[in-house]
Amino acid sequence: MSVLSHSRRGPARVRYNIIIYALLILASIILGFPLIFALSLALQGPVPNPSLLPRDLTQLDWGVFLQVFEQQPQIIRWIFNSFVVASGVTLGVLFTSSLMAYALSYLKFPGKTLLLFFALGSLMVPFEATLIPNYLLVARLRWSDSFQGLILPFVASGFGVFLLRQYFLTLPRDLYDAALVDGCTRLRYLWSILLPLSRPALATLAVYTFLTTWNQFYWPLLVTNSTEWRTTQVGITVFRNFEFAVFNIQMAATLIVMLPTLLLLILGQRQLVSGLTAGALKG
Amino acid sequence: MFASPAIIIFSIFTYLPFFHAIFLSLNVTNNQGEAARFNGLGYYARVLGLDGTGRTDYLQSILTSFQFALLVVPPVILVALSLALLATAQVRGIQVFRTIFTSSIAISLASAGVIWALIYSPSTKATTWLVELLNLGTPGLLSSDATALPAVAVMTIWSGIGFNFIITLSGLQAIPVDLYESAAIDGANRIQSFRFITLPMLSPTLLFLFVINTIGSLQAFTQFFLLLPDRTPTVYVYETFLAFWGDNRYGLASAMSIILFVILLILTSIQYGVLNRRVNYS
Amino acid sequence: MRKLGLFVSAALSLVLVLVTFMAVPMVSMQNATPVPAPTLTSVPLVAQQAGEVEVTFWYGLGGLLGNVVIETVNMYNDSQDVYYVNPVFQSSYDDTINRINAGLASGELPDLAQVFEAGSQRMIDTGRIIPVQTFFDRDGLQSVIDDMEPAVRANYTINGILQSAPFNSSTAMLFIDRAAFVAAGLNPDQTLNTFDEIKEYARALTVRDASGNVTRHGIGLYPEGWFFEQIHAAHEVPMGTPDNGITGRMEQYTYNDSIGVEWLEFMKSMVDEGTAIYFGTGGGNAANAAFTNGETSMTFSSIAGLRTLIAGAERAGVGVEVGTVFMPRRPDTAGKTIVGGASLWITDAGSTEAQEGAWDFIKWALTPEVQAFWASNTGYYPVVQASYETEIMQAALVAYPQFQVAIDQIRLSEIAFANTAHISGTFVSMRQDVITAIDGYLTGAIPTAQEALDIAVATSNELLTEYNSTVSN
Repeated sequence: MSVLSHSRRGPARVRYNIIIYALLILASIILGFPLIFALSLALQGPVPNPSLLPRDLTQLDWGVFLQVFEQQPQIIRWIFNSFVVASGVTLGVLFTSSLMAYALSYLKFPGKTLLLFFALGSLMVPFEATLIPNYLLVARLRWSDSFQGLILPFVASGFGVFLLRQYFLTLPRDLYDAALVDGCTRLRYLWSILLPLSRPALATLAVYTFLTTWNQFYWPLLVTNSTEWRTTQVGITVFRNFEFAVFNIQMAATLIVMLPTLLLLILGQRQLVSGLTAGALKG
Repeated sequence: MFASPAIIIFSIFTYLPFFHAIFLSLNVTNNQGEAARFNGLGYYARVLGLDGTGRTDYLQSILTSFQFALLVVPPVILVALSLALLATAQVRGIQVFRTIFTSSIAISLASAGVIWALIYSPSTKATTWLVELLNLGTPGLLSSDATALPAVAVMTIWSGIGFNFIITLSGLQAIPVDLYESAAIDGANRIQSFRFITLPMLSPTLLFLFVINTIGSLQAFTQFFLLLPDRTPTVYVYETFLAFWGDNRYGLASAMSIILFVILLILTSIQYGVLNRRVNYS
Repeated sequence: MRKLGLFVSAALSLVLVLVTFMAVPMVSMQNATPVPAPTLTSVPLVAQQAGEVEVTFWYGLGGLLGNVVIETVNMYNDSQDVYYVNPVFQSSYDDTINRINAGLASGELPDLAQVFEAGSQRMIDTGRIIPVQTFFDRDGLQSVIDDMEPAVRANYTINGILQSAPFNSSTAMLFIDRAAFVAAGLNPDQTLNTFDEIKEYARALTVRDASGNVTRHGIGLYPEGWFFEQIHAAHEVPMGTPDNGITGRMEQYTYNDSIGVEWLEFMKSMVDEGTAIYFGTGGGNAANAAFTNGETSMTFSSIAGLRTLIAGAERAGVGVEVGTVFMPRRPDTAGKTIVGGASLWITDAGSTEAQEGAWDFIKWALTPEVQAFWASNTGYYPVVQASYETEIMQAALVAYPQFQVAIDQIRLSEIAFANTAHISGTFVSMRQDVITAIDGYLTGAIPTAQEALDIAVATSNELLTEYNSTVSN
């Protein structure tokens, strides 16, 4: 229900629609400006002084996207790296969080509250506070330029534990009690019954974790070294250092690197939205 | 036990490093990051301007961080709110627009940073008209002290609209319709129903966004790395990075991050404590 | 079954990506072309042959110069089949030294590293380097050292020993637009100019339109620590004690002196007059772009960027003719400037074979022909004087006379501690402090140059003292 819509009929309705559409389109253009800018710069060819919008719409250099791959074939590797890292972290988070959330919501054992605070406490410690020692640790273990270095530190997530625990708690407990009586082991219950029932929450966590890991910058910056191990986010900035004053390839590369997450957003939007808002509205 | 994998990871990569950071912050380190000389609270005093030399450069960067947060948080929530209100309009094709408004959530700070660096660069002439309008005397918005921070703030706001929009929209959609209907019957106009129904009902959401955005903007790093890579003016987290990556002073950088932890802790408690009272939970 | 669906689509996408990944070798494995001109496209590497000893080589040059590094390495690998130098790009000189520091803890060090002159003390302090003097002495190649450009040799000789092998050496120049000079009635061939003369030129070169707005600035400026050091050297004023850190570990910075102040005030007066445009921190690229686009007629830069600037001017096509003159100075000061760039360090990280391989590459890189190739394709000057006798070099000097000006500048005076680059453990941070001082003063945030430099020197000394306390020697 909207503050904006009071019922209208006839010409008032048409006027209302026009205003709304005008505002929507205006907002979209303003919001979309940076992307339009990037596309425009990408298509203008290697000129040192590109203008805001291409002067000649018939002379658009669509080949620039291919040139990105020619000039920096590593970009394919970067996409691969980001993909592996994001998938690895996502699977890891799903695994560790569901196990821990399960323990916290269903199992009885001493020190349960302590463990809960242990998990939530990890959310309080900001990334920067653990960054330096983690960096030193990873360097000492020779895990720079490796998938383990990029994946392992993030494989447990306080957010994940919290989200899943909240969700598990909303499911009926009697199901669990009944299953135990029937001789179902706790592990089997988790795998065969609880997880399938928790698909929405799991999907949200998966989409969210994948997105945020794909978009990570600070950590991969520190931990990757050679060009081929860069992830997409660090890769495009290294790219940028390489050439100055020639912008089309930079922009094309940035746009390419944006595609997977935009795609994921379009496909997973509903899931992401519902999951995030559930967290926010419950405070 | 079930929770063991998570516990192990948390211990190794979150808690242990945290305590290690506290340890490092009390020492001067060598090139390799090992403690070389005990320094006590020396670094803390230096950062907080309490070491007697009267140098407040790190305090200044904390101030800059707060300035930045102030430049980002209210506008981003306001813009998101306006867009969310707009997006509740009942017109055909509204879903397309909603997706457009959400899209910045899929664009990483790094990608946004690279693009906005060019928008602000004097070579692309996209913002030079503004530079001339404001009579800045420098070639670009990022080179002038007055506009550098706001420029990065604008980019951060743009980046944050998607997330804030989703949350606000859902908050709006969760407000029961009958509240509006009874208000309309009672003769309330749109502005009044906004003030007395929408805002109060939305307040838990707005508080949540306020806290999340503040914490996020105080921790901002990527955009400063890409847009303002050299030291002035810069925010606290970036100074920490420079101390650690540029000067190899792991002890100092660790002290700085512990201080940040304390600041965030205090801030979150205050925000929840003070503002929670003004929030309407029904 | 949505979770299964998610898994399946994830797996499928993984497969898809793997397949594309297989395509990578096909895209990048072309034969290395022989001695091509520097381009902006990334150059493919020659493949490693079986049985060759691998020598990992970390380097920090990117762009056009980075491509020439790869071409040089390719030439070496093609020329023999005992060693394979594997170049790994490190984004920048700063990152290279950071990686090396990180590598000390993990043991992941390269066999050969290109490290900038600011990193010399750090490299020595790692305790993991083998001074190249050892190899020179063992193979009886002192003659090569003797034939090096004196300024360059002095730069990397610490405690009387040549620690690293110079590879790419540059110096700072004032780049000018010769066409603009001539049009303004100025002499583009006068290489030695004073501060006041440059200010005059800037006035003459600034073009204003009818309403009084500046359409072309005489000079473009940005804060750079290196130029600050150059000015000190040209005036034979050390940056710190003792002896610029060359005879013993540097204890204290002293650069808040009169020449430092004069340099800052020189820049500020032009900004205030409107004859200079100030690009702010990190404005090097913007300043260069403005120069090649004809928006400014003078800019400070390294001679290493000569070819890049010339290419940029050609692409911009507005008639800028790139020329070079000496760094400006006080009247009657004919001091040399310092050598910038980087050198090659051998570490003890790898096997003896790898160390030999690193040394073999260095020997090859110091031959006159290779130095001539390197210099003629970039803007660095050759580090061995025999290079000047090669045809390539002579042709390069004819084609690019701007080069000769740089070489003349580093030979202007006798080598002394005060005009050689200083050595210190916190060199990199010091440069940042100077940049902050210059920026603060030029933007008006700090009212006087002396105050700006006093603050900077206090910060630098705080860090230097702290660093020195953690190093034992």
